Amino acid sequence: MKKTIVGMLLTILILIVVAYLESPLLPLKGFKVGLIMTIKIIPLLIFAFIIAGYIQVLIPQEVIAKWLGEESGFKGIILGSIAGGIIPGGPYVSYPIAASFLKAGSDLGTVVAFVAAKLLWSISKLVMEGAILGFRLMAIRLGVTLIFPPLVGLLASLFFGRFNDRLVAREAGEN
Amino acid sequence: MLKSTIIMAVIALFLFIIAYVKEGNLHIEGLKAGSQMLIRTAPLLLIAFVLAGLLQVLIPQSLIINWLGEGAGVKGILVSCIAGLITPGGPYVAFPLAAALFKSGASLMTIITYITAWSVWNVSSLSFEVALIGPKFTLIRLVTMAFIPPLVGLVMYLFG
Repeated sequence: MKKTIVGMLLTILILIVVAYLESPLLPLKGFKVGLIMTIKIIPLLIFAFIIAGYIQVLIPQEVIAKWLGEESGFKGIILGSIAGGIIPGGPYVSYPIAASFLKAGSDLGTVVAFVAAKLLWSISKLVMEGAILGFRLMAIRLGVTLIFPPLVGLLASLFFGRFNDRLVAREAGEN
Repeated sequence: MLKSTIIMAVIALFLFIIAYVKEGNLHIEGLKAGSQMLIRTAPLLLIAFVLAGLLQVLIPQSLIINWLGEGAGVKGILVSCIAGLITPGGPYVAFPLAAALFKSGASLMTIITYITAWSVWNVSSLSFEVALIGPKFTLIRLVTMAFIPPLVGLVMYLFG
């Protein structure tokens, strides 16, 4: 997070210089556009964060995590996808859970579906996407990518599952 | 915007009631968790929006329309895939950038392709994945998902 902020501040600095060289008033105009966007979106973001907070406390992580170990095969892939979609928190919460289930012997397809769903269906990310980009865009994006988490879970278990899921688990255990 | 705010407020109220009815102090804890997240990400969001604003005034609208607009076609898919691949940071960086591009004339197809490419290939999230799950798993996950962003772009292009 800190690295991201520093990187972005540097980018802003470069852009300010570039804009200034183009026209001395341009950086100010850029700031104004950015600030207006921020101010306009603040009420929406406050509610979005309240929703994200409730998602975090209302959906117990341990219960969802259990789903990953309970089923295998296609059922496991579907459960893994749903778990990935509703599990709250960032990657530093969900990825250690994924690693521990790989180590414990869950199907590779289930865990790939879980991570894919975390990336494409994550409820807390959807809330922010709707708030910042609009709900129509968010809904279309979700609709177009809806099929992929179970599909890639299936692909992963078809092509990689049978010969080296143990190797994957050992790799995961090293960290 | 007003309509979205009202919808979000209603959902928030609904979740508050659910949390209130449940035992314990969940309705307070949820508010606390949310406000903590907001305070932690507020500086990042502000910076991201300023960055998006600067880009919006710097990049000529004609350029965005040419490369990412309605008429960009397959070129638009390619450009948005690359943009998604190289955008660092989490949703609070990518979403404001996408919003600025959308406002400057990028098409729905390219924005959705961009968000999808960023979700699947995101460099910051990849480093977490390699560190926390393992390089081999990450590779398998990437290989099985590699086709998704261009395919999503194509689907949006053909049917959008």
